[in-house]
Amino acid sequence: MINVALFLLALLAYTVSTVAHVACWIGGSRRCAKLALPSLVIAVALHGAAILLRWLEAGYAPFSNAFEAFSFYAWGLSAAYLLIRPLRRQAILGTFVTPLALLSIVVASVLPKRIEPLVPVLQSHWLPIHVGISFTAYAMFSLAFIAAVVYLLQLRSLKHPGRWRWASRFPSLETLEMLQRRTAVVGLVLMTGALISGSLWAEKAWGIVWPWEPQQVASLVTWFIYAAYFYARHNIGWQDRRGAWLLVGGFVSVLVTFVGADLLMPDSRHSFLFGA
Amino acid sequence: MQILQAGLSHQTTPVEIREQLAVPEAAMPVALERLCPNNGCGPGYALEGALLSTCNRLEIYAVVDCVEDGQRDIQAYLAGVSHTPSDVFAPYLRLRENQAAVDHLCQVACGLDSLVLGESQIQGQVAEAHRLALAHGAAGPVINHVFQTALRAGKRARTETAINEHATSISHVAVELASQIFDDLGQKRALLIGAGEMAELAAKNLVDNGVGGLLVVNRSHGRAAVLAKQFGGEALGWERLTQALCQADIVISSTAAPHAILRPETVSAAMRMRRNRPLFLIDIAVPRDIEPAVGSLNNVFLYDIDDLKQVIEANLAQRRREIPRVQSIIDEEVAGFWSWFRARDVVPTIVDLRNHVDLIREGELEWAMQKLEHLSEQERGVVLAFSQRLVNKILHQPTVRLKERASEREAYRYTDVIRDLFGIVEEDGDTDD
Repeated sequence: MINVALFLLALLAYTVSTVAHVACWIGGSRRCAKLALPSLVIAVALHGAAILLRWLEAGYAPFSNAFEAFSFYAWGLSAAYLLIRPLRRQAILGTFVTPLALLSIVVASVLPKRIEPLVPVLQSHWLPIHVGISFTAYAMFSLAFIAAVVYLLQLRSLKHPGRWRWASRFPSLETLEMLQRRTAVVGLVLMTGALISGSLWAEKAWGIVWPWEPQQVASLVTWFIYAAYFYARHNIGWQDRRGAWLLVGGFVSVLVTFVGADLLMPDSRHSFLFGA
Repeated sequence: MQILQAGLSHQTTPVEIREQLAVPEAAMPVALERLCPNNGCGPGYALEGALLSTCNRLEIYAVVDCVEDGQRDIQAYLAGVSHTPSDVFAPYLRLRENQAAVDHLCQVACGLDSLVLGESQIQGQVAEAHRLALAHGAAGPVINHVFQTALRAGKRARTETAINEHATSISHVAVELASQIFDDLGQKRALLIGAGEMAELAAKNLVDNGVGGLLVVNRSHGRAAVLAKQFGGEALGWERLTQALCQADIVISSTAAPHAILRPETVSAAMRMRRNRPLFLIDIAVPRDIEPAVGSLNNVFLYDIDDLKQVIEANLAQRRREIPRVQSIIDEEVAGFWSWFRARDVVPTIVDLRNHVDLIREGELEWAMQKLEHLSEQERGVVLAFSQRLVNKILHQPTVRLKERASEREAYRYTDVIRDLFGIVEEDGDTDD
C-alpha cells in the first residue's frame, strides 16, 4: 500500500503548509512564507503520486469511494490554487485554500482506504472522464468561493473605516473580483462538461439520459447558480458584493451536490460515496 | 568611563524652548568641536560625543569620566552653544546615564519616541548625527558603538515588526485605501472637484503615486485650467461633472461650497453609466461636498476627513501593539552593547596587567637560568613551570575580582588603582580606533 504511505506523507506536508500559511498571516511575518509555498508544492506532488499509484494498483480511476473523492478534491483544489497563484500577488488566498484542502484530506484519512473491486456500473471509461471533470469543477468553484469570502472581508474593511484593519492587507477588490470571475467561468465550463458526460454515461449504464436522481438535480441547480452569476456579473453590474454572495451560495450548492445529495438520499443510484 | 545623555524632546519641552536650542546644520561642526575640544582625548567637556538635532528633539550623547561633572558641563555647554541661559532650559532637560542612555537612543531610532509612532525619517537623522560626529572627530569607539547599536535596532524594528507599517498621514491613507480597491493606479484616472490649495496638494500626491490621468472640475474654469496644466491633466467645465464621474475612478472633492454638491442620485446615475465599476470618493471639504448617503451605494467607497482620521487612529493603534516586540529587540541590542562596553573597561587592564607581570617573570627567569646552567633539562622545566604557576596564582584573584567589578559603575576606580600601583601606562591609540 505505497499509495497510502504517500498519502500520509502528503497529509503531513499539507499540515505544515497550512500551519505556515496561517502563521504567516496572523504573525504578519514574511519568514514563514519560505515554508508555506514549497511545502504545498511538495504536498501536491506527493499526493499526485499517491493518486497515480493507486490508479495503477487498482486498475481503475481512483474516484470511486468516499476516501478517494475527498482525497482527489483536496488535490484538485491545491493544484488549481498553485496554477492560479502566479496570476497576481495573492499568497493570502493560500491561507484559506490550505485549511480547506487539509479539512478534506483529514476527512479522507479517517475513511476506509482499502482498494475494493469496482461495482459493475462504475466499470466504464466514463469514470475518469465524468468524475475527473466534476471534481475539477468543484475545485474551481471552491477557489471562486474563497476569493468571494476574501473579497467580502476586504469590502467590510473598506466600508468600515478604522475597523477591520486586518483585512486591509488582502489583495485589492479588483484582483479578487477578477479571480472570482475567472475561476467561476472555468468551473462553469467544466460543470457543463460534467452534466453532459454524466448524461451520456447514464444513457449507457441505465438507458436513460436524465433520470432525475438527486445528485444530478443538485448539479443542475449549481450550474444555474453559476450561469446566473455570469449573467448578472456581465449584464446587470453585479461586480460587487451581490456577485460575491452569489458565489458563496453557489459553493453551498456545490457542497450539496458533492456530499449532501449522497448523504440525504443513500438509496439513490448515484450514491457511490457513502452508499456502499 | 560613563555614557551620558541629555535631551529635550517634543514630549517634555515646548517648541519655544526647542527652537532656541536647536543646532542648525551649519553650526554642527563648531558645536561638535566644542563638545569634545581635544579631538576626543584629554580634558574637555567630553571624551567623545555626538549631537542629534531635529525639529522634535535636541540630544547630546557624551562619554565622560564622571557623571556629576558631566551633567554640570553639559548644561554649561548647551548654554554656551545656544546663547541661552541654562535656567531657561534646565527644567526641561532630561538626563540619562549608561544603559538608560543607550536604550533611549535605540528607542529614538526605532521611532518609539517620535511624534508619529514608528516613522522612519528619524532613522536617517540618527545615521546623519553619527556621520557628523565621526566627520568632526567627536565620535570615538564608544559613541560609534552606541550609534551602531541604535541604528541596528532601528533597522531590525522596521523589518522584523510592523512598527512602520500602515499609513499615518491623510494622503498616505488615501493612497492605501485606493490600493485596497484598485490593482494599478497607473490605469486609473483621478478627478479633482475644486481647485483650491487642498486640491493642489491632493493632485501632487496622486501624481507622485503614479495615477494614470487627472481631470479637474471647478466652478471657475480658469483656476481649473491652471491646476490641470500644472499636473498634465485636463480641465472640464462644471456642467460636465457627471461625465467626469464616469471617466474617473478616484475622486477628491475639496470645494468651498456651503452645501453638498454630489447627491446620491447623481452618483448612482454615474454608476449606471460606469457599469458599476468601483468608484473611490474622498471628501476633504468642510462642510462636506458629498452627501453621506452616497457611501451606501454599491461599489462606491466614500470617505470624509473624519473617516480618514479614524483609519489613521486605527493604524497607529496597530503600530502601538508592536511596541513590546520592538522593545525586546532593543533590549537584545542594548544587552549586546553593554557586555561589550563593560568588558571594554576591565579587559584591557587585565591584559596589560598580565603582560606587565609576564615581562617581569621572563626577565627574572632568564637571570635565574644563567645562574643554574648545571640543571638538567627536566629540572629547567620545573623552574619554568614554577615561575608560571607563581604568576598565575598571584594574578588569579585580582583577575576574577576585576571581572566581577566590571558590572559596577565604579569599575574604572579599580582599573585606575591597578594601573597606578603597577605603573602600567595606557597604550596610545586606544581612543582613536
